[in-house]
Amino acid sequence: MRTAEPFDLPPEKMKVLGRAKRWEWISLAYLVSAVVGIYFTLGNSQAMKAAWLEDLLSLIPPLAFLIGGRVCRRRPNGEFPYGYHRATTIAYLVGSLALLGMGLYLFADSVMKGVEGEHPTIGSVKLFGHVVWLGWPMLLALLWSGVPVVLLGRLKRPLAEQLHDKVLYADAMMNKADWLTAGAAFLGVLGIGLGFWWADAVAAGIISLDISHDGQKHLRAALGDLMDRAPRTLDYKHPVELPERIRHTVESLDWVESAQVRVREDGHVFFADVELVPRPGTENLVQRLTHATRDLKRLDWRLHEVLLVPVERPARPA
Amino acid sequence: MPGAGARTAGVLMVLVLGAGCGMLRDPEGTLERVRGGTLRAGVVERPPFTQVGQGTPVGVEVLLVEELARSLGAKVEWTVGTEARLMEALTHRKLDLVIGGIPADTPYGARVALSRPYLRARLTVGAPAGEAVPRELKGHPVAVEPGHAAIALLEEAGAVPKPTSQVHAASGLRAGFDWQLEAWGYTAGEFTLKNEEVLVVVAPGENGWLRQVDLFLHESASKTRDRLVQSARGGAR
Repeated sequence: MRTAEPFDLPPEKMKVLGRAKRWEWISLAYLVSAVVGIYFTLGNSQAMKAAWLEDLLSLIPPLAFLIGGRVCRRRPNGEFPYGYHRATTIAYLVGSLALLGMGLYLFADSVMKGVEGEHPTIGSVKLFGHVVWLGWPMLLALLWSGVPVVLLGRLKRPLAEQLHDKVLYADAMMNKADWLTAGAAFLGVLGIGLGFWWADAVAAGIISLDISHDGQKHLRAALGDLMDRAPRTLDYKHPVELPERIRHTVESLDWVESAQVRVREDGHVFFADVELVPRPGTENLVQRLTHATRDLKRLDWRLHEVLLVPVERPARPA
Repeated sequence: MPGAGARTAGVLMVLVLGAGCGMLRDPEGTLERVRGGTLRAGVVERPPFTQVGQGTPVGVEVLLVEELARSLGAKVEWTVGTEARLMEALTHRKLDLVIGGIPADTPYGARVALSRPYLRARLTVGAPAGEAVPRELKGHPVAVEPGHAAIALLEEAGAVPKPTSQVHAASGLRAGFDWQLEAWGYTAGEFTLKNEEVLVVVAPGENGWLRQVDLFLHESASKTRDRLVQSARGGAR
């Protein structure tokens, strides 16, 4: 069976990838510290529970990036002739389902706690021989979970753009928005301290809605990728103009009458199918096709495979 | 909006300082109501922590609550009852606290607020002064209060539990908490049958009130333990 060529990043992208990996390892270590910090100060607060789950779930994108990134660079073989590029998309699908499910569960739980009028209790802990209100360590843990993460998000975003890596991009955007979660939980805990018992349930509700929103956004993106939707920009807002550029390039060849292009995205890379109608009397067709394929691949570093198919007349237009 | 972040930070700072300077407030205003007013206390009987006879309850924890009330200029209104009924009342904030040697692993823990444990006790086997607790309990008779959790634990350890209503007067090895053994002049064994933390349960969500109770229990912890040892000397459990 024919297999796809192994895909290697251009050298300058390899350097970016190395940096991205390093930041993701740092993110993981940091997130684990935040998860542990919040776990030990959970107390009775629903908002803290929500913030904790959010931090726990935000471990998924770095893990998907690091593990998926390793798998997806495996060489194509007889069993997987297109390679393993979709590994990250699958990790992403699973992660987004977890986000959505957890967000909805947490939302229902928070609404119930609010409706039942459950008053959250925050007691004291003994620290260095002093009896300290547990709210203080909670607020500290929330600051630790909400401030450095924003910087990480800012650092990772340009790397995601250079690598055109959707998982890394989603991770960066989630990090950037994380201060909102930590901030909501912060206000929830303060609210409890000031005697507004409902502040906790409200904060938890807001956080769970944010988690669900992230979940459905990523779920739709992952499903779209798995459905071979036409390639879109990192933020999924616009279609990329690559298919048009391929068509222009092919049609500008003097031996081509017309062409039709279909491009699909396979994880980090693009696969393009081009149907072209050669002008009558074109000689050395095979050689011309080979040269054109090689030239087209230079259009974009992510364009991994181009299949040129000469046809007699254009198929049904798209 | 460059100033928005700074403004939010400023508002937060004020809130944080507000909550920090002893501004911890109760949603239902318990602390304010108790101060100079009435402290509604529920009592479950468990000597020597609490004892219910005719009239006002007595016991180490009863003294503790009376002192807490005095520190707040309040008088105590006692309600004696079963644990289930008092905990129910506490959940609905019809009581301010419940005492009765309540262990930290109380099954009611999820629905009420727990203070910090003021006593950590170790259930073990002790030997009379001058004797040592054998390394292996296998086959040794050990005096224990009838119906005590220690009976099962002793059986697991291979000992022969001897339920005795007057444990403090029994001869030979006795099972008891470390403070009881201390009161009897016994030497505590090295192994632990069970650890127990004792605390006070408080109406849920009343965080300012809970903090007041916590601080008071913390200050009185060593005095309370001394009183427990004293009371055990007299033969109470």
